[in-house]
Amino acid sequence: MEIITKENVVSIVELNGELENESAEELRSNVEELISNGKVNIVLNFAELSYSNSAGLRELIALYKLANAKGGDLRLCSLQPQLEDLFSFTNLKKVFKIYSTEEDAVASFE
Amino acid sequence: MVEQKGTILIVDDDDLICQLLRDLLSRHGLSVIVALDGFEALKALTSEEIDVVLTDVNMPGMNGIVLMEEIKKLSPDLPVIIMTGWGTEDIAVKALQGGAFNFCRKPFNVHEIVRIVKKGLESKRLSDKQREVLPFIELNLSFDIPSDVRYIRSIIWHIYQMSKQLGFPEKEFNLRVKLALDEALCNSIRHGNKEDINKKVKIEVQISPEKLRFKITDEGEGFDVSSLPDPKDPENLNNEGGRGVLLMAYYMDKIEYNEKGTEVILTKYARTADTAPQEQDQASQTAS
Repeated sequence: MEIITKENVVSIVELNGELENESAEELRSNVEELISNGKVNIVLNFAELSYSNSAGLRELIALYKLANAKGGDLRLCSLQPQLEDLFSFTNLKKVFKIYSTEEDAVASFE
Repeated sequence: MVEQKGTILIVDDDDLICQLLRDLLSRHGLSVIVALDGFEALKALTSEEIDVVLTDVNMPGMNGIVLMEEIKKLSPDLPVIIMTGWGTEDIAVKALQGGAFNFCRKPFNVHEIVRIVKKGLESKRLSDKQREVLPFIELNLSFDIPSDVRYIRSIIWHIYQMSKQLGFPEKEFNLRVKLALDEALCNSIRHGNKEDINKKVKIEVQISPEKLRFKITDEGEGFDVSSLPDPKDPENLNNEGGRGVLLMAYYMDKIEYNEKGTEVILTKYARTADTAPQEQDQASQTAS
């Protein structure tokens, strides 16, 4: 998995490939570092993410809770259909704010 | 020697070339269908039984390489012969790397083109013959792995390759089976064997074109699946874990556990997505 981080008022993290046991740990250390540096408003761009297992979902929820505890939020955008299905079925659409585009997700913090 | 029969789809935006090829191949007893562009060709492929495709590279709308890629998605074994101009060896190489059966240069050598088309027909006949026995094949695989989640991706990759070869639908595997298998293996390693590297997880796999069945056994103390809280319940939505069992039930057709809770059997049938909801309900019932 490749993780690209663009830091501004809102930090954008682009996920690439598959979110599973090992890459979920990599994501956690990247996002935890952002949060510890005060970058608590985060958008995860899923456009290039094709897969997530429950270990990936586990990390997303942990990071969401961490960002919220620090007064920020972790929002998602550009989910591929199979991940839309996963988030719908697990009711995680009720937990995360999910947007169609990165622009919409960034704008939602304004 | 018995004259080869078959239907050739010729794709070229030059009507004159199409006519020349039609006359040539018809004289050799072959049926010919003509398409003047890639879109027309793809339409013909869904309505006609085609044995070999002979396509030009340079065509407006969709070039021959893109057309070949689309054809490979529909019929991976269908031989596609690319027609290129002289001095375009790089295109020919690209076509072969992309899965073209062969290529021939324009202007044609009549004997060469007939020879290549006939070879393509022979290749199609052989792959059809091989496919005839697919419904009768069942492949049994077995893995004994140490309790380390890093093995999961490789195991799934091997099973995917085998199931693809036997004709189990790739989409079904990638969208559903992969995740359920990932979850089941992860559960056995993490929750069953508690990642004790001295304990093994046994994976017994049955693969056929119609069905995949996985029996996964760990060496742990077992756990009661029915004791897990419902992760879809609003009260549990913020819980970080506990979704693996739910996902297995959602993506497979049947889930069975042994009494001790150390063994799970996952079954997935190859079938169209529109039958999924009913079967998914059944799967959830089986899992609960």
